[in-house]
Amino acid sequence: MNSSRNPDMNNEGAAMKSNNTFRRRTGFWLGAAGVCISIGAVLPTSGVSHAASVTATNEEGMLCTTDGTVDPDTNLPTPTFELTATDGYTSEPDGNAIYDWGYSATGAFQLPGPILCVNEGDVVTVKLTNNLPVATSIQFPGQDNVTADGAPVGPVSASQADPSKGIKVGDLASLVPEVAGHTIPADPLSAITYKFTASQAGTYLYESGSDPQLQVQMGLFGAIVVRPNVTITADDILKIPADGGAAGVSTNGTFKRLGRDGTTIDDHMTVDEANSFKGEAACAYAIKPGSATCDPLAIYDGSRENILMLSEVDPGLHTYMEQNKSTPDNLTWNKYPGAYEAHYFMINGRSMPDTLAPNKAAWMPGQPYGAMAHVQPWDVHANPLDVLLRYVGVGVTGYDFHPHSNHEHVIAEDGALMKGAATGNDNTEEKFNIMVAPGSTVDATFRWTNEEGYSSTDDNRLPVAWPQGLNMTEGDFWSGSPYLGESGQLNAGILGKTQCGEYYHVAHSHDLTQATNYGITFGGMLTLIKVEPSDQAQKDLKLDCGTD
Amino acid sequence: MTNTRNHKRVVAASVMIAALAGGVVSADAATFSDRTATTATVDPPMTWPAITPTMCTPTDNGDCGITLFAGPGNVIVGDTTATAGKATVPFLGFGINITDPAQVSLAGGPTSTIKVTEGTTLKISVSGATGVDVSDISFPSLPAGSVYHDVADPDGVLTVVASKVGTSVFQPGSNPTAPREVAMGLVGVLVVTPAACATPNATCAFDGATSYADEAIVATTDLDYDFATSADQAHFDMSYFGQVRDANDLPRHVYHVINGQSFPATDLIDVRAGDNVLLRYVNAGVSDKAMGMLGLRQSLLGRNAAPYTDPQTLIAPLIGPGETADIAVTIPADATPGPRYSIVDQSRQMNHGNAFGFGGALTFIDVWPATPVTPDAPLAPPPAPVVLASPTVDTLAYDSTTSPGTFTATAHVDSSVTVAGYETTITETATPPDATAIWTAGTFDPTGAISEPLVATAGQTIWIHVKDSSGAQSADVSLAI
Repeated sequence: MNSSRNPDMNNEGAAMKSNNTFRRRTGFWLGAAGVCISIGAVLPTSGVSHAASVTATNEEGMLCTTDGTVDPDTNLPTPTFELTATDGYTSEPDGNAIYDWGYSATGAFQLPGPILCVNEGDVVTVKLTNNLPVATSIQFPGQDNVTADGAPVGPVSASQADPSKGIKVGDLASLVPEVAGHTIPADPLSAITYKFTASQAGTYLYESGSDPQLQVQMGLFGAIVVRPNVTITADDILKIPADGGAAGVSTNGTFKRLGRDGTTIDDHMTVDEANSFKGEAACAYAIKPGSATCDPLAIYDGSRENILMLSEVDPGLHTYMEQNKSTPDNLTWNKYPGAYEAHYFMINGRSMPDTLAPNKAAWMPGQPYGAMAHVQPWDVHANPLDVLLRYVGVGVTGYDFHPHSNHEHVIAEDGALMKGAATGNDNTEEKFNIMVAPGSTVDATFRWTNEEGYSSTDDNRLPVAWPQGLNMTEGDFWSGSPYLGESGQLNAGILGKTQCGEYYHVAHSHDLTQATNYGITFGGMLTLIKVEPSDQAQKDLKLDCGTD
Repeated sequence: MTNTRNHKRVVAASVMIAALAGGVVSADAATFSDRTATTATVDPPMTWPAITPTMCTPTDNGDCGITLFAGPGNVIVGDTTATAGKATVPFLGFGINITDPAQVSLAGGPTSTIKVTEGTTLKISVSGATGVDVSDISFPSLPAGSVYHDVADPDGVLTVVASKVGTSVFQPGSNPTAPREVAMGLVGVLVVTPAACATPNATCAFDGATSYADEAIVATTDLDYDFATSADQAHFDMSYFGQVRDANDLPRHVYHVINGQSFPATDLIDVRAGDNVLLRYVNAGVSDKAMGMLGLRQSLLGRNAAPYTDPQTLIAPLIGPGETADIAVTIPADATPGPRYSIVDQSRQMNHGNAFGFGGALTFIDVWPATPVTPDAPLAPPPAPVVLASPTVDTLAYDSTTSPGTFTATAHVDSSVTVAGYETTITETATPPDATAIWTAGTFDPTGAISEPLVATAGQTIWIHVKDSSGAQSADVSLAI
């Protein structure tokens, strides 16, 4: 078991790890996983584990913002975040620069807002300072006991009439208490302090509660990840389910799988092996809220945790707001004279191919979060921990997100593990198309199984003759060899983007109009899943896949 | 200040129709804060039960006879993009047991819900306004054999057996104009409660042992202004229906309503701290609705009139077009009074809102203190699903000393129904009245007497019967002069 109220373990600055090979070839940085930015004090080590406890770098994976403030009276953690609503620009792959609003933990504009990672039961403080010319706020769906400046939150009504704007006293002004806009440069910025109890582990959205149709579209949203206070045991790891369906079941580490000849074979994880993985394992959900026991369905590789915040942008709307920055009265949804029409579709504020770039890519300072999951072949002995994907629906429509290759295993929706509270029934489900509805979150685990295990070095070569290069159309993400971990000669003119003979699988919105950048395919809400050779293969073949 | 407007212990689904004033529902309501628990000085009137069971006129064999009318109405919605700040949108709605065609409503509105107990056999007399084709009414949730036209009934009365517990819809079915009628909003809600529901007011979802303190329908409808006002709907390009922009990328006016009204005119859902609340979501529109509730987790009990074995806890359940979902929420016992919990489509389609951008399919759960501010009026015992007796003429007398003579009658009906009129006939012989009867319409106090001048002579017979507002007719009563 590892310990993890220890937010200094993944310091942003210390974790940067470049990948010279890939940079040289592609201009992108693809690198190792990254997890946490700590912005507060360090907590004493406790005896529970959380997902972010595994050493990793911060170029890939979910980049948490954490805080270790402790209440001096109770000695309980009270994570405190200071966010600023501000404006700035994001870049699109077609060269467009989009004016946005966003929440920032540093004062510098970013989209989406910081991913706030806290632990179940924490009393969380979020101080919002407003540097926008319009009033704004934050609503926290799914969180309990939310207060604003000490009072329970609720809708706010106009206290003063303004006939010129059609405002009457008593008109609903905001879903939650808000902070006034900053319209006079000489005036200090206004702020409001929200508090809530992160009662239940899970993935959550936070977003503006003021003119939300406009302000969320403009970028005022982010995610909250609440981790359970659990201890992961070897027995929990032994109970990680095998693939469902025809591949069989698992009982205490006995995995039944389909062999190459179609027969069922048994494989076993030993207790020693299970113990060896405890340090890498993380947990998304306990067996029930508040429990200290992790549900095996929710165990994953802590260094392979990802988030995908799905959103869209109508550039005309953003341009109108940019043009009216100096006239705050026009910065409302109702003043936009155009017809809403999204042209950009994003994962974590980026559109393909920017989704592939690492976290905090230097050329996208306002879009710090990448969206490419890395995975190695699942193996009951060597790599039994799944990848975790946390989906967050921020758009105005549901997004049917579709990972190619293996199905994903949906384990939770809206921060609730899909198990019967009374019956204990396992209601999780395999899906190849995951609907992420507006305002909703979905958590899914993913594993890539090298079912056939084709190899050029033994007698398990592909059962077909491989065509000559000139008879193929090769893509940039083709290594030149069909065998995982091998690279081959590419046709002339092909700019290969692979590093170590890895595979890439597409993951995207299956509404292909959303896999576009202003109508041009492929782009938009699309990313890749990078399938790397196993650690052992990388070592044996002396490969550098850019990951540990 | 009163707070009777826009407050419902439930979102309106009652078929108690007498109080309706007409076919127009308005967004021109009091401001939002005028209507909330924090500013009201008295508790809201507590109507009970939550969604009123549909009143039946028993048929000869004891089935539940009701009338179903389909006709036009108008809803006024806020629209900050319109010159006047409001828009009047025509719609087609249903009216259950209504006597005034203007009383039709959109899904979830006051007159468009049928609520019966599992196993009830409904005999529905269907009629429509001119041009509204109601030749086929579909109940998609009910299995084959549960909906049929009774071949033995020459009037084509529709028989519907409420064989499946839960919330579902009914709408025009196979008639050629059905799609456009549905697009105009012609969708009703069918609520079937389990026969085992322990409480007579039947606030149960699927489990007959669990009743709820509060129950509400939250039915969303999408209204397309251009289509609704088109003079030639038959040739309207439906590919643009519900879309926010036209072929020239100009904005179109599409409105989203809950129970036939757009915020701020939507009904608040009044609850008390500590209540368990049953919400019946219905999507009667054309676009997905992710019904987010800020501040509470929703327990999804079932969808499409089918229960889940394990309720799933969600923040924003997605309800597809034509779909229903029954959810339960528990109001914290220490909840602060006020409109604490918003219910809004997370697609944020509020683009016909107030100056702050709030409108459309938005409402709030309004929390009242667990202990009433002022004691509630004693609740009448929750009525069982009402089966009305026919009205009765109790006395009939004639005073020949006046000129002309005066007949006086007294009648009584069920206390919840008014007498809508009476009919008198004078015959020379003691035979039942014929088609020359004189129908006198109008309401009167059912506890009072009917007293009218009438010219009659010795040897003639006065006949009288009365009808109540649901159409039920008393037996004929006669008096020989």
